Amino acid sequence: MNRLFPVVILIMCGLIAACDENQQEKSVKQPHCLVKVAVSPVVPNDTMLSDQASFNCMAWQQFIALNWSADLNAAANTFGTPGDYSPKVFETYKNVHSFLGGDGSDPGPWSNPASTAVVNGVKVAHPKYLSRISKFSDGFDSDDIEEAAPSPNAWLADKRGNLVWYEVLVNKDEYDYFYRNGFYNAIKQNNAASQGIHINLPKGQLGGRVGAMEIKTAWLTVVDPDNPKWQRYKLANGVFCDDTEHCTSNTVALVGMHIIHKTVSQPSWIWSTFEHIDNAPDKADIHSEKILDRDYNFYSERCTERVIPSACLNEKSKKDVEITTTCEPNTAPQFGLNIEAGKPVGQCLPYPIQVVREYPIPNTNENPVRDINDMAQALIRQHNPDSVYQNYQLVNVIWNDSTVDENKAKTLPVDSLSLTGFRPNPAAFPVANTVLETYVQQTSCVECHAHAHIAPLPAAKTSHQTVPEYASDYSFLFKLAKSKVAQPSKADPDD
Amino acid sequence: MKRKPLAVLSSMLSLTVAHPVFGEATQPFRYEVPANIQDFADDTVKQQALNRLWNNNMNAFNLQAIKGNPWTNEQDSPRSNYLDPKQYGTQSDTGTLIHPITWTAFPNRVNWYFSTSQKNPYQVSTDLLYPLADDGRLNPDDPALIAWVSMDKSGTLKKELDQLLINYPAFNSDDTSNFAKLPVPSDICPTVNWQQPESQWKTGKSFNSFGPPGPRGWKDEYNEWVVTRNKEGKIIRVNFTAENPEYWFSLWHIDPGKVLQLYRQLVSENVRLEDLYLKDAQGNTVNDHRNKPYYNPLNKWNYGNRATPTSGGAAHLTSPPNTVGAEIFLGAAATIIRDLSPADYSPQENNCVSEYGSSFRNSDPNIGFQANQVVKNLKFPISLSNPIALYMQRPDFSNYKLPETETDPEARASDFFKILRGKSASETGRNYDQILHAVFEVPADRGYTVSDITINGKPIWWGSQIAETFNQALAATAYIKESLKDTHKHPGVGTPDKQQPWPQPLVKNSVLKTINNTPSISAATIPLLPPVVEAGSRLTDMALEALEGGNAPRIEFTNPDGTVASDIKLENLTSYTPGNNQVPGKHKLYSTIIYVFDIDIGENVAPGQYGIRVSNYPNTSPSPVPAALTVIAQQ
Repeated sequence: MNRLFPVVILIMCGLIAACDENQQEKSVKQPHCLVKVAVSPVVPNDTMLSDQASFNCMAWQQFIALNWSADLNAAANTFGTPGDYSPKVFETYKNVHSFLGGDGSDPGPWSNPASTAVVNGVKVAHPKYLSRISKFSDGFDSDDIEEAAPSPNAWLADKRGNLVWYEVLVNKDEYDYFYRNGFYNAIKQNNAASQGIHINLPKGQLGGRVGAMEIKTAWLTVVDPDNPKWQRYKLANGVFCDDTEHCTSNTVALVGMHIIHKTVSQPSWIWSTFEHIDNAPDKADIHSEKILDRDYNFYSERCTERVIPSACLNEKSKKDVEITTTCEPNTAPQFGLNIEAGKPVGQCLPYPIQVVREYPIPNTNENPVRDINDMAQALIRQHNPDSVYQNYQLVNVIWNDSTVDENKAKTLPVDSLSLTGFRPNPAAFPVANTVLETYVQQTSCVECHAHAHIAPLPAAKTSHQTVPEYASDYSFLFKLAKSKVAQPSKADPDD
Repeated sequence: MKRKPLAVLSSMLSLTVAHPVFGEATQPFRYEVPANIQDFADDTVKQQALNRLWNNNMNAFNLQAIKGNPWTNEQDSPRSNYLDPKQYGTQSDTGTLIHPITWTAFPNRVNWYFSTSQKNPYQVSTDLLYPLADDGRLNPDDPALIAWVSMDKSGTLKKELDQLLINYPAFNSDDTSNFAKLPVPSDICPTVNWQQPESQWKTGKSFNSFGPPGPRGWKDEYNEWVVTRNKEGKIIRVNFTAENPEYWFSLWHIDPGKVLQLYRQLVSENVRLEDLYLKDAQGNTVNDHRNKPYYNPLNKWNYGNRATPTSGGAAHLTSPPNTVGAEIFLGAAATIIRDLSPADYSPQENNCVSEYGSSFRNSDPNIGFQANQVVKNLKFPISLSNPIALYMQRPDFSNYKLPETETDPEARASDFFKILRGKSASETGRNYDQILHAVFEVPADRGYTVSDITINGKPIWWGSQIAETFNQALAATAYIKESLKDTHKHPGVGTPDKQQPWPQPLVKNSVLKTINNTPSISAATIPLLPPVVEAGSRLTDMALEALEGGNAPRIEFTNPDGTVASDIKLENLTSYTPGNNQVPGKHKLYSTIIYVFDIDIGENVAPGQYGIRVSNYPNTSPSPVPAALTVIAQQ
């Protein structure tokens, strides 16, 4: 058989007059992306093709579009300009604390976040509330500083002891679904379930709506914002308020981002995760004593153990000998923190956590993530050589090659939803973000999300009544809903 | 249909296309043997004969796939967006896009119907799914299983196994010809309905046991593996095969000695030629229409899931759906655009309305959906990519750990994976491997076994653990310079008011009878290739099974243009009905009848491939099955 040489479709381009030869030379080749990744604000609503490479490319398109200026008319050559604190598309999404928790009351229709805040008399532009109180939140929430697992004590600090903060956001399609159906309220969720109404978040479809998206971000506290290193990061003005409504502000840097997206072709969602390239080295590289290629934020070759104040230890842990922190990578903190207005207080302060990537970012024929990262970073650089976003990388994308929409079943899906058919196969290839799942890198996110269910009824906690744990479409957000008083049921949710 | 403006395409898509070697003349299309393997590298005459035979066989499969099923289905024919490569393809693949489609090799239906991640009643934990996926049963007396559960020092796994066997004793089956007899619902679209009353878990009158049938039937992701263990029960070797049985039948047709040689290389030095013969109940060798011994693809050396010095092994695929013919048929069926709501356009929904594959496999719904996406979303007609076959992909060894990993970080599990047949991507020039047969085995000088290697901390005790770490693949060729031939949105596949007889492959009656009378192989469909016969010869006692066939049929051979080939005459027609006169299809039961006749091929019949048509009624002329008989010139 003849040897075949793959080339980019510039052959076709050569057939048409519209193709500018110079542009072709400058363009970044995208051999793995059937649908090109573009530096543009268009959030894809689904993939044209359901294969790993297409999902990887779609993930990058999502990352770029979500990090686009909230002013969608912004020029591509301003994408990721260092020091730009103006809000990005994802920062216009709804923080879950703004509509879940509290008393389950009506949060009102979709609205844009406040453009300014006043903190200690100083105006803060484009505030990012990373810990706050409102009628929808009980005040400081440990989720603000703690990863999903292990529990308790899953906070993370960089090698200088600076804390990482987390936020969870939903896009308008998802928010509208919560709002229209009253699912910000636990009782309304349960009433719907008792009527046989499925929790069925909207799916993105080609040529149609975007569909439900949930974003989880990780932000590193920046104490020296003038340090040139932060020119490599997307920064924001973090605002932190305590339950006395005392607030502080501090610069924070984006170090991790989960993007999950429900689409028609993937009713079990598309699970993408990104992180900053300076986060942590691969475990294998540490093991082989390879010379590290960069100054990582969450790993220090000069890590030293520190004595833990006995006041921070629980009674069981207290022994005659001194207890120290550890340099063993990915070891969860040994104590919890007290946070006031965004600041750890008391004797028990964050200490450096040594982090490594347990499972390397793949680059196989089937799943060429590192090649696609190189491509996307080059593409971003081509538009803006200084862009901070060239310093982020896709870790992986989980999708499902035999996905089944369990909401098509006549009966209400109950915990757990399907875990089969996901790729990369969670049993063989766990996918984890080093700053969002630091301590549980052996587990892929879907393995937990399959067990997501609706909020418990207020009475259920005390009466120990056994009610089916109705599945909540892989989303953990539903269980955050609360309710003070019984609400009349609302029929026919609108998806 | 209007063609897409190229400017739009080039701005949106980044297509990797096959590009001809500069200056090389474009050659007419010819179907290549899988992975271009040259089994007769030292015998040009035989290799050329095999190439011709394979080219004819693949042409038949492709034409039949394009025809689809106009006999017992509605909206399933023709599959016009699947282009005939003979008409549209060239050897250079100029102007095409090669799109690999991959899927995980671990049988996903085992997960769907048995794992704890689904609502099935069985609730088999992951650590027991591995032996179940390997052997199709959980035998508590099996030393390998005993050793496996005893590794869990907490005793939890042992308790789980004991409880499972109390609840469902059928898991402990000693029938090695099939998966343990465990019933599953028949209501599976759009998802498994576990609330369906168990009394209705039936296809026709038969209980719907988990399948497909056969000694490796459930390994239905187009890859089958066989494990070899040492006296301690540790794995010393795992053989993986992705080779379609049709190729081995073709090889047998050319030279049974070559098949024997390959068995001895791949399976055991102890294989004898007569071990490979199809034999009737009395032990007599059954001959084909050439009066030569017929090949038994389920012979004792290509049978089961464990290899021993006296039997068991994996030369090629055996599960009924694991054929290249099924692959092509599925690929073509998936090119029909269905009238699905945009909100329902998902792999499972499309599969349910198109009926092109088995639900919940990693493969079929995924293959079909991606093929359909190329047609529907990208608007390119397709065919499968030459050389059409099913290909294993190299495992991702990144989470394997060797015993010496701590002391020698450079040691790699990938060094123990050997491609015995086929090619890696680097050898093919494409971005997918074309592996047909591979083995994972630790060299003796290392002093340890496969079971001393771990994947994510678990010792490799079952081949299925490895199957979780690699993919299978095929590739679709999109013809980017062609427009779709059928843009109509078709309703789902249905059953016509008046079904027509659906002719199955022609075969020597003694072969068909033997297959039907041998339970160990009858359940597992044996692929039948179009008989090859010289002009001027006569075939006697040939059998043609026809689904929905009547008692007084009109049977005709047809030319490629559909006209009757009057010089191919059918004589001495009789018929009989096998078994209970019913055969299960993928989604329904068919009545069946077998016609037996002689065929007289006139001296002047031109070489080529001829179709066959069966009509139940005097005045109707249903579509013929194309390329059912290959006529060659008189030698």
